[in-house]
Amino acid sequence: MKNVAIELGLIPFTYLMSAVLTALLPTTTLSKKVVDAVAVLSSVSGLALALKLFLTVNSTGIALYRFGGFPPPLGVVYVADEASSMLALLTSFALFSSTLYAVWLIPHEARHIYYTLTFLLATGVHGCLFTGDIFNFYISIELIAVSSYAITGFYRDRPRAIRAAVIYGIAGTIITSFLLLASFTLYGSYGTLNMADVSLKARNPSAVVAFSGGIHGDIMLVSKISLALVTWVLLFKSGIMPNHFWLPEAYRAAPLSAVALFTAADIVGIYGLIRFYYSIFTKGIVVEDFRALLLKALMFMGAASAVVAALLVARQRKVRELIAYSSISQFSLALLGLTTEAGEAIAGSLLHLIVNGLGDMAVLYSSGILLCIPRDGDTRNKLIFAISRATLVIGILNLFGVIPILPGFWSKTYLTLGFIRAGIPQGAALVLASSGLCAVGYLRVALRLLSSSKVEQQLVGQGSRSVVIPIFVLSLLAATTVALGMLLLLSSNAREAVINYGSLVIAVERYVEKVLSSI
Amino acid sequence: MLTEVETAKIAIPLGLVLIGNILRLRSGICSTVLRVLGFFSLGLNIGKIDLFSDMLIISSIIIGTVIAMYTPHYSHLKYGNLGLVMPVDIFLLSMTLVFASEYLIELITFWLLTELLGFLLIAYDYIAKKEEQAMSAAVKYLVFSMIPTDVALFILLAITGFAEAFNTPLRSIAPRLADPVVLTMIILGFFSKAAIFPLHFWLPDAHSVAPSPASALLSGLMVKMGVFAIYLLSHYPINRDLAASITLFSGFLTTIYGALQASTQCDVKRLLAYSTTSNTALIAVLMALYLVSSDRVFIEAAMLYTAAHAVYKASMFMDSGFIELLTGERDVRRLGYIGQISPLESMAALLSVLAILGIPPSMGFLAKVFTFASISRYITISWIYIAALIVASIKVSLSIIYNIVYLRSHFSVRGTIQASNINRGALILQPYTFIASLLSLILVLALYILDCSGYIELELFKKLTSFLASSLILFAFLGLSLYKFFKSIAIEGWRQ
Repeated sequence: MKNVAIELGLIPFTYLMSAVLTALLPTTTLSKKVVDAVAVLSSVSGLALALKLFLTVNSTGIALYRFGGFPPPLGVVYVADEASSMLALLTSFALFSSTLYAVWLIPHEARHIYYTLTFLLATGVHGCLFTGDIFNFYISIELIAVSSYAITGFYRDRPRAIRAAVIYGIAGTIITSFLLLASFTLYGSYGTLNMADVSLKARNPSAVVAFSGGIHGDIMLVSKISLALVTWVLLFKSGIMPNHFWLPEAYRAAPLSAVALFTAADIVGIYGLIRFYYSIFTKGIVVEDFRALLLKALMFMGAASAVVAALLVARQRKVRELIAYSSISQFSLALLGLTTEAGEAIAGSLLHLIVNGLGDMAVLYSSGILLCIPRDGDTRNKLIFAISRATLVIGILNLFGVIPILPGFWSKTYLTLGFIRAGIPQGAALVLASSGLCAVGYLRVALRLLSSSKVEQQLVGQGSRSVVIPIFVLSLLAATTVALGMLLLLSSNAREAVINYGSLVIAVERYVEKVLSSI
Repeated sequence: MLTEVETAKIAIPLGLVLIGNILRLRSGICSTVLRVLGFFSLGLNIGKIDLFSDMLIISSIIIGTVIAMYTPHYSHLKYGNLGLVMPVDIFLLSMTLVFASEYLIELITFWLLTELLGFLLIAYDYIAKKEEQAMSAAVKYLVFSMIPTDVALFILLAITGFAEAFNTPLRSIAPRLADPVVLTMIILGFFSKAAIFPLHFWLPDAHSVAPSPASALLSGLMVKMGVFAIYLLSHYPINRDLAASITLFSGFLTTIYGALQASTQCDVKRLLAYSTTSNTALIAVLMALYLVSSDRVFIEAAMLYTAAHAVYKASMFMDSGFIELLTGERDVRRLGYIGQISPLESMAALLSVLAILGIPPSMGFLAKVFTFASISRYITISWIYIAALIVASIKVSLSIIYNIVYLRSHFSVRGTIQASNINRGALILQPYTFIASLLSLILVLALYILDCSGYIELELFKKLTSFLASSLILFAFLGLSLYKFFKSIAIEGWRQ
């Protein structure tokens, strides 16, 4: 059976198993180091698997994995196309960095809880990215949600953390239940929850597919309802205004490495929107006018959200709030990109998610070090400072996106390209205005961090004293960012490939055919 | 993408300057020599593509050399360390490489880098001394100059496409700029860089707040990037009437507004900053007239004016830096005694002013001749040229006024020296400002050399050569007698 990618099944399995192991192991009398080793090892293997998957998909096209061997739409199938494998690479990398950083940051006693939660989060994200089934998508989102609520409240002796977790938890539970409602109504009339199946029937109501038959009810009304509900839920997940209220609280309260992981995990909102609008409810469906209307509404919401968030970013003085509002603004720009229906803009959105993740991680991790290393002229500390400062500068410049050797420049270029192709040059101006306003905040905070001369805060509960591990993480981040940027700058193949990813996402026939023909 | 030769043209200057900067901690002379060599090696980039960019590169090189020698002393005097030197050097390098770019992607890369460094330099007082004013000026610059220019550049890149941006020479790409909205956005973006209405108001704050060597480069060269970009646009298939109308409208307004504002300022640096907006707008008007008439002589006039203004601003800002460090005072009303303390410096200021006002054989003289000759040639054809002539004349008259206002800081009979706050250390900056004031003449020489190596342009220049040579002798005579006069009225005990 060609194109069966075992990695698709292995990645969530590895993460899930590690989550369980790291929760259970401390109950035995084993040393704490074993827990750390398990966590790091499994994040490394997850990263390696994601890389292999990405390479496989690039060479042979869409890859599938059928859970339990059941053919879709009878069973759940995981589908990896170019876009999702690229994003999965980001998430695995973020998990890896987060795990390593946590070895330094999180105190011994609580570390195993942290690992459990973050690995569950990663399982959920990978589920969302790869799943080909709408109900499974809901399950994965719930998994992400539950672990996020718990991680937000990680420092449970702080009132702020509890408050953030409660806000996030209650609002999140209510809103994600809309997704459940949407999937029920879809099942009720389509008779199936497989994405490819729904996609086929939405365009061609008289289609009959093995195991699920034809449609059972009125799909017009149901499609509208579920599309609207799903859109709202995914806007919440990605923090687009006005559904953003949980995000600054959560980012302020969670552990630093978890916030970095959040920036890579909250991409599921934008990714979900891409999937729902370009693979399921695509152009040519029975409710096409409604879809176009929603896309227009999303464009306005994205534009407004980007600008308002950027104005808020310009006022921030502290790193966490800066990253929180910056993420809102960047996600809004990614949303803007996907509303244009141009392949280049969608490629730009995907790349923008990656750029945002890398940039946020660089800024957060380096600020963590810069704020708590004593400035005592020690030579070793000088090297630590140099690397942290360099990573901070790389992160800021990446987020700002004006240096062609960093990928931030290229994501903005692709977005601009998409807007020009779609005939909306004002969109390009908006993207640049928004990132320029954000830059006010970035540069101000960066200048403050780079020139601050005293230790601003003590480490929250000492992890291990040696900063070798976080410095390694920073160096890796900096190297990866620059390498990605240089690749895009120097290789026209890479640039074309990225645009291709965007166009392939729109090519829904390919997706449907791949999935359903594996019966 | 880039051949070895092209990479070397960028790498050699960059390497020399960087090594020079790193060495400065060990040996001052060695470091300065290396850095100056680095700037001279930028001359490798003179590619004979066209005279405009080559003149800009030459201006950058000679201004950069003098600033390279000036900045370490300034930085040491004002901040107590040499932290200003590296950013200024890299800023100048990056800007010169913008002018020397062959491909669109190169232009965009160095342009964005230059803007970023410009932000850092404007905010330098915030970084070094926590002055909030510097940060707010820098933020204004970011929002009203960087963002619109980024919009213009990214849209241009998107319309050109990656293949062309990497492989086609800059002047041969043919972006489809038919949509008037897009064209307007791009032009306004470049206006924001050149500080022309409606995005002109960031400049006075930004340039008066930045450290003086940085202001010299910002006013002298960076705003010219906007004009350079409009020049590049003129090579592309655009709606020339629309472009010219927008540029003429904004240019006329800004020229008069800037000159009027400059005449009423009391702060020497703000005066110079407003003067920059006025002069740059006039250059843009010349560019617009080129778009209307397609006669190369307007480009030549614009180019000469650009070079003349660049060296003028550089030396004037260096002078204002000297004043600022010597007396701690920037208000013209409270100055007036500089001439009595430092005749050399006042001589330098006077020479620069005379140069821009048009004394032969300076570059300013050539610029004015070309400007007025080119406009007058077309007077009978359209009212636009009459309007341009009126605006230029008003501007020239006002420029006499504000230059005199500036010189009052040097030569005012009412000025009495406040002995307590004179910082004699600043006197070390004098020779550099003097050299800077002579750059105008050096540029004419450079132009002559370039001309001999075979450019087809500058017909008028060829006719003027003998006149310029004879006026040089008269000029030297004038200079010497003025200097003797100043020395005689200077107060003993203050001279070095």
